[in-house]
Amino acid sequence: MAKFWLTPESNEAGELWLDGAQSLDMRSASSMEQKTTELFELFYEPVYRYVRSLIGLQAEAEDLAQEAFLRLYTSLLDGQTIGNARSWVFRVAHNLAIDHLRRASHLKQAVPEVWHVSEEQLDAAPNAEQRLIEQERHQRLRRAMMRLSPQERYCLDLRAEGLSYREIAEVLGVSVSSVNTFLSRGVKKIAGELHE
Amino acid sequence: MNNRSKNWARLSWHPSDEELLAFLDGESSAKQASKTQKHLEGCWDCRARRERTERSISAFINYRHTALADTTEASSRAQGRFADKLNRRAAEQTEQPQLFHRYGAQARHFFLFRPAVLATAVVLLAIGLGVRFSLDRQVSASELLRRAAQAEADQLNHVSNPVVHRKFQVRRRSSVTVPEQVVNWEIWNDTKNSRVRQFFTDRNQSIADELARVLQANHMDAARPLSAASYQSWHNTLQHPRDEVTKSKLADGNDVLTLRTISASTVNTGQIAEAAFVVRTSDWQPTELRLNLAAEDGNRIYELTATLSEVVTLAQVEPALFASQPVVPPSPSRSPKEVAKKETQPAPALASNAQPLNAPPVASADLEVEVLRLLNQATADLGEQITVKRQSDGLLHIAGIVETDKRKMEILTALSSISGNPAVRIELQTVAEAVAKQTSNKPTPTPSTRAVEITSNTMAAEPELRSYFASKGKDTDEAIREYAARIVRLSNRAMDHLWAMKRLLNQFSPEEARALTPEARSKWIGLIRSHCRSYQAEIESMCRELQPIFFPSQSLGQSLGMTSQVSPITDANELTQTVNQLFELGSSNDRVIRSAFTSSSGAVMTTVIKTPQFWQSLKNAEGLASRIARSQ
Repeated sequence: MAKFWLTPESNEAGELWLDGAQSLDMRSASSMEQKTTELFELFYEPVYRYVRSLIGLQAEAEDLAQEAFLRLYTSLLDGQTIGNARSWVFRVAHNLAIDHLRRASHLKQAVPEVWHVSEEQLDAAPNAEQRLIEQERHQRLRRAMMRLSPQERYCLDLRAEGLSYREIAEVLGVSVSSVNTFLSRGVKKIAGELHE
Repeated sequence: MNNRSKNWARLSWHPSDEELLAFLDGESSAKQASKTQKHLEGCWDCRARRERTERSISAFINYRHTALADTTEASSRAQGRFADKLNRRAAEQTEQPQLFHRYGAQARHFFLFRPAVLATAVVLLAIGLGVRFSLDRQVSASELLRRAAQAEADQLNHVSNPVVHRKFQVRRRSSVTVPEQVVNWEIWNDTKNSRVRQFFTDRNQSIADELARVLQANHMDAARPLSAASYQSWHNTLQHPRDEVTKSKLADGNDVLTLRTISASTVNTGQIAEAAFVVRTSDWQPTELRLNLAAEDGNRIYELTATLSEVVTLAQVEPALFASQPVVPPSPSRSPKEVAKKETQPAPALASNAQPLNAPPVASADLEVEVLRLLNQATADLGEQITVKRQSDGLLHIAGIVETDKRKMEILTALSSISGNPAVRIELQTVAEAVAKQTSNKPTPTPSTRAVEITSNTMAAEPELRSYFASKGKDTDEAIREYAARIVRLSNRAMDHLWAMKRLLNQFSPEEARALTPEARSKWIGLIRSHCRSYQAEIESMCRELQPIFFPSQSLGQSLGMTSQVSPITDANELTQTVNQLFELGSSNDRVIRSAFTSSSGAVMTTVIKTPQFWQSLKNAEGLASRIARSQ
């Protein structure tokens, strides 16, 4: 039977496990459609945000994030074992985003445009002095973003979306200890910019 | 190594940046986490590093939120587009059957050179698919519940004075603590006289008590937890339920259908987020109920599995079982007027010597309360034209007109536990059925028209609303319309609950109410209290909406503090008085709301909505509701 129950264990980590080894007669197209829609509602926003942070372009990010869920549907229908649905969708979305960047030769742009926070986007500070401090802080963060390696940035973004180290490792195809190292380096670079 | 040496050893070691971050992220092993935690307690340097790390993470997160601020809007926009894409993809997949989709390349290669094999395969596949399709016909959620309810009703109809006897095993799992807890729960339900006895294995009775509370809070039936009616009753309360029916085989070889329902809207603590109802396909008997509950300490799962299910006649049951819950004889529970009327009627000619072998069924007041409770669970006691009356024939008549076939079915399902009772008559019609009946009986009256002159389109509270929303820089016309609609809606809903309370109160005369068994009385008061709490909640919401615009100097919490000091109601007369008082006050408040927030056809421009007296009146209503809600 399809293991699609939010167990306490899985819920605690926010993970949803799908057992793809269910029998063929359990996999009607409509039930898979419904499962996909449920997962879309659960995970679309963080997946879209992650893809957007990678490629910067809103419309493309929407398409790529949605494509990841369409592939989930096809895979469920094909009877593939999905395991952790969240890291599965993030992995597909990540690969789609990287392919997109390669195709568009955007890889040279280490930090996409989305990370340029404009003055209008900053919180309205009550006075000019605080506004200046806020601007200075954002410039420092912007510099920190530019100093991050792609792997460090991916790890920080995925962690910001609530993925565990193990899930991040699954998304990026690296070991859990590498995730720890990338995250630690990333945080250190940010700290260096902010507190120097 | 002595303690002092151990302390020095702990302080001479410092976690690396990676170890510190893993600790903060909850990714360290238990041993490492304990070591790091102890070290941090004694090392200021590392505590400062921890703080620096936390501040850096916080700065990164804030920056990221600002940079990606538009994603929520994009996400809501994406929903519709994705649904279209998914439909298209699903259509493509349907055109490309799964078997061929998976093995398409190999199959094409294999069959290309073997026409005979291809022909045989096509024939075998056609036979196979035919068999499969006939076995796996899709069953909808409503059909599953309808058939399960029908099976239950059939079981009751086959037995006179049916008593439902069920044994369950209840398993409870929590995300935070302890291993799984198990309790055996046994329920005897005398459906005719609405009497229930329950037994538990002693050690874990609290789990069954807890589950009973969960069921009640979610409009399920704690006396018949594993029933289609109970599940339907919870299902009816969901705004956007998502259902899925799947088929599977149990270890004992039985095929079962599982209806899984997810509440798509936000779920609060104490509410069921997801449930599954399992029935055997051979006889549509429910076998299992699984509930996933949102709790303060994470999610909790209850699994209720039937280990025994039988329906026996009351005569087969040990009389001592229901001894503590005597059946109320029908005569005292009838109104004095009705009794008097019956006594003055001439007796039938054969009455003195022809005693029927089977006494005609007579509905008890307790049964009436049970019906009211079932209707409440189906939310059929809020404004729907359904009446419940014990009539002179001794039967309990449940009659009414509902909007649609679906609604009719929902209410019938909710009533399925008593529908087999010979003392009950159910006559529910849809509007269409009622109209058809009427037109076949009577000539259609010529519709009359009445001219209504609208002289003004303004609402009395408009100046205050306009000024308030303009100061907030909102599109005032739209904001005013939405606000007014919201307030009127809240007032409507509050009045629905007041009417329901009044109907419940008038259902029994004081004498009848006194004659109710303690259990029935408790159910009846429980229903009144439940409507009262809902009324209170609507009024509280309304006060929260009104306060910033009309009563900025008033405090929202005032009445709550005050009302908690008031003594609860313990006497039936006092309850009647207080409900009537609340009804008067609530109706008067509703009139004020309507005059202020609906377009006026005259030139009435004065409004009492902004007076301190009206605020006090709302608070008084809240206070009265609070008293009734705590009545015993």
